[in-house]
Amino acid sequence: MRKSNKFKLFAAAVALIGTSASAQLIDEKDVSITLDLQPVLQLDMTTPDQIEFVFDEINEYQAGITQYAATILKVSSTVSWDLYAVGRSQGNTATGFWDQQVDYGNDNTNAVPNLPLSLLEIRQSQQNPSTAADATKLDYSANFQNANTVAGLGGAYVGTNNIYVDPLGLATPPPATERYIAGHKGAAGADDFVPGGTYLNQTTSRSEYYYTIDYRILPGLPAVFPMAYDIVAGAQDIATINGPSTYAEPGVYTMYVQYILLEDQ
Amino acid sequence: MWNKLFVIPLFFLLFLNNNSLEAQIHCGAVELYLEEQGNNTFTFNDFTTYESGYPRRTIARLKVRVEDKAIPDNLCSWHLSLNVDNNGANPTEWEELNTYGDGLGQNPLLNIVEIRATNDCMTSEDYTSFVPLSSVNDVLEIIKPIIGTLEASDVIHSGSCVQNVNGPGDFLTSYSEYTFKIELRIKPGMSFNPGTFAISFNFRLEENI
Repeated sequence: MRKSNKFKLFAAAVALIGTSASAQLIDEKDVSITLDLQPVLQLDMTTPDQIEFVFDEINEYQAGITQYAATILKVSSTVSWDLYAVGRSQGNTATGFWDQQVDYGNDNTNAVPNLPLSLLEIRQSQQNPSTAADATKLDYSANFQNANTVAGLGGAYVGTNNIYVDPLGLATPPPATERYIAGHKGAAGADDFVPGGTYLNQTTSRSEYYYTIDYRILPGLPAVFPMAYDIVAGAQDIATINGPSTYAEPGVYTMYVQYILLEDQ
Repeated sequence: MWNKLFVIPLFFLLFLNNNSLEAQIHCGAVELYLEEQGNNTFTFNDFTTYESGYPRRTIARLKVRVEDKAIPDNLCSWHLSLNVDNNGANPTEWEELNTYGDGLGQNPLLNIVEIRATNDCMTSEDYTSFVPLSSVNDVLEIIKPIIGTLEASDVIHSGSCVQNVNGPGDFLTSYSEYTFKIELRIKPGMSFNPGTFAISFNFRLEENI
């Protein structure tokens, strides 16, 4: 072996020793954690099985009947949500009208059974947070209007509390021009929804997750339901939609209100 | 003659070198044992769990064993650290495995998790009470490393039951100082995307150098 090669080999061995002198002792262990956040979307409703409006006094026809806080809605949700109400019936007279169960009287030709669902007015106990942020997003928080303010059948009256009715009688979410109790159509803006939360931890007298609902029906005299109104179709009092001189046939009528809580759409 | 003079020292040096690959700086061995304590899945499916969270759950017990060299080195000491891995997700968020619903909201943040590491002697200086996580870039020092030049006075031997015990010893002879209970507290609230999410805790035991 040549001297120079031996020297290189020796130097390499020394270098190896030098580099191995700083081996720090380390030991490691791992543990993994999984978080399973399951969505919860819950509407608690306190309400009578049936809310009855019995009109058997003249003043009740004239002033209407209001059922205050007949329904209490309480929301708990882990996702952003919207809440709306839809007036519905079985449509046994026609789509968009109350169901007539019994009729009283002699079947006068001017006494019609077509009572529009939109004659039902509701009022929510506090403003929709979306409405508070954007006045174009309607809700049901306005006070019920006095019957005397109706400018005339089919006239300039604009209803502010009439329940939303789907044209096809379905329960699909109302379009952006209609009323929501909380949240609104669309998912683009922060004022289109109410964030997840619950009425359980409310700390003030009002909560975005707790609403009471008042109901009013005002038949008027004659019983044409002058407050009936639809945002798209306009006035829907009986004389407007069934013809002059018509009025509500006495009888028993039913409809139902569907409250729908859904993840922000 | 030259060949003999060269080859003998060379083998001697290579022999030394083989030994030195297993040699340490100050300690003879460090070992970390981790015992998982059961289910590490935190399920939230009602308002009680969402609002109150899991106030305390033990996820693991860590057991430390640090041996001095055969010829004791009075600088043999150790530190224990923890870092969080979220598989490259946003540093302040949990790793998303899947979402329920549209997933348009905010994924859960790391700060919904609080952690503590305790033993009977409460030797950890900073983690004897729950501390929230904030970012995967943070390193949580359960037993702190020695900053600067290591001195013999930096080594706190076992048996004293004081903070920062970091001398050689093990969980068999000094259970109260070399065993750590790792507990989590998770309170998500109701503002995050529903779904399944994960993080991993990496515990690291190192000798001080």
